[in-house]
Amino acid sequence: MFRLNPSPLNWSNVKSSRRTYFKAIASAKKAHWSDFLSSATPRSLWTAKRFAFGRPPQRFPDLPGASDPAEIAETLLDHFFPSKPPPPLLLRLARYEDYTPLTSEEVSRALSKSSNTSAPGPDHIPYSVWKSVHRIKPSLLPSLLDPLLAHGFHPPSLKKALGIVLDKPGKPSYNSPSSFRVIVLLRTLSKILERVVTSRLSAQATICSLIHPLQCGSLPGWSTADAALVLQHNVECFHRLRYKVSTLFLDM
Amino acid sequence: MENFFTRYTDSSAVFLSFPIVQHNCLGSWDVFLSLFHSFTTLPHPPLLVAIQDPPSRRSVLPTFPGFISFVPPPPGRPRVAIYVSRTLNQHLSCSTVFHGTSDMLSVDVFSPEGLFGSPHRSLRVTSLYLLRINSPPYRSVLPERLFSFLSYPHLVLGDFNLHHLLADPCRSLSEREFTISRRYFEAAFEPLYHLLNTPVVYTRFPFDTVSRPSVLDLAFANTAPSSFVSSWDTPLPSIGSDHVPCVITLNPPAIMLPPPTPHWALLDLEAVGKALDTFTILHCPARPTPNSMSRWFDISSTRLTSLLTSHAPSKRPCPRSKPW
Repeated sequence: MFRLNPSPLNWSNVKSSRRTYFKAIASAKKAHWSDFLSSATPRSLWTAKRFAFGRPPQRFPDLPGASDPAEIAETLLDHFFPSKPPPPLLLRLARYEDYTPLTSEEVSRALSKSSNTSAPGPDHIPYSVWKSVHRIKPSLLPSLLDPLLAHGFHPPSLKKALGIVLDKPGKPSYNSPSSFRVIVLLRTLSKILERVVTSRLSAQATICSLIHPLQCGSLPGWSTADAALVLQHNVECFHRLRYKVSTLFLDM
Repeated sequence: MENFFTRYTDSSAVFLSFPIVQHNCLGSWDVFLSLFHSFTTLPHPPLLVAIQDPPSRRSVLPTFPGFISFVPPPPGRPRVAIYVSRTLNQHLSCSTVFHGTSDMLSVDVFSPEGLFGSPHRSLRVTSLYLLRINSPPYRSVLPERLFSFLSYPHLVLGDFNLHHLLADPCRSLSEREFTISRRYFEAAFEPLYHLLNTPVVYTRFPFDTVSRPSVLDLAFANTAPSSFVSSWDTPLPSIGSDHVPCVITLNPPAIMLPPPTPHWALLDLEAVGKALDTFTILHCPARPTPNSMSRWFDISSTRLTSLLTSHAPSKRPCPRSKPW
């Protein structure tokens, strides 16, 4: 209308229409955003954060003295995995006399705790494949892993891992290896063996009372809530006795 | 996007081409999107895109599927950006080099086996935007910082905002233009950089009808161009900027690509079941040493993983690709 008849009245109509149009868009966006936030689930919360704050920039280690990726990798390896003296060389591996053979149930238990979406290591085999293999032939994985347990030997090929370097957010500069962290992806076969050993050690420790009765971390059936309850109980006990209580938290 | 890898033969493959695009986007999102959509007209999509004056909002660049963007760190609005193709980033290591200014950014492409059939393991690509300033050298980055003696291939691409007779022999230069540009060209020639532009191929067509076309977008390479640069051209259409995108095609880098990984979700469990019926683990050595035990485990686990891998199809570069 304003193009056909460019009068001041039409111009004011154009302005008010335009204002209404953009206001409607802004209010629709605001309402949609409020709806999205009100129906946010624990998963979609991170999507909301990404929308609100944008993607963090990708940072590369800009380390002094390391000009190409090989040198950067070497510097990071030296920082995160400093070289240690080699362990004493064993001439022969002795089989443990009172060793309990590995059963397929133990492997099943270890596999049941493993996530199919967990990132695999250098051999790219996920847990889902080992679960299928174990379902088809339950004796296979025990016969592969049992000799290692029987001789107390962890082969070097199971210690090889993929290292994914991630930047720590909010660091003032990224020219030091300490501004990054490494996620180590071991072979899934190695992690199955580790789980079996962990469950055996945990069972032995419980039987022999090697673990403090109030140890809550890394034990099945115990959680942070239990630790908080124990702390609250101790504090109240001391308050009843009219003691002053202070707590020291240590991040080891 | 077109699959531009050769099929794998003997668990290895080479890139067919290594195109690099350079363009001044004038800070416009429309120009940026038009540029990336125009790549469909190229025979091979670019692996690196060096952009000057990229559009940005709160120092965050626009994204485009298939590319990762890199910009100089804050403070200051980024004046240059480099977009690296995810395909390139999956197969070669790419790391950024910052120069302490928002007008200049480099990306190092690294291959441990060497690139372009030479022992050079790195290729450095620098994106540059020389802004006009009022004090000498009258451009925002000193010429000595642009060109240096490097032992590996180095490409310097950008909007230099300089006129020189080598790039535009038909232009009559003023004394001032010649003085400013001579310093930069001499700094380039001292460490043996070569100009890649084809003379008289204009890269900027001003919007007004008064000014003449010019060659402001320059590309320099530090070794003999024929050794790794295949061509410099402007095949892409004008896309809203007064600059024309330049495409620098490098020779195929002749790199060994990693073999495709198995698609475990498509593992043929029926065939695996039949194969596992007859599969047995070798007997462990009776009185093993650490070495013999290691060897036994490696052989046994490799036999098992090979059996599994042989029953899983290989992953394709993208879901729409043809099977290997």
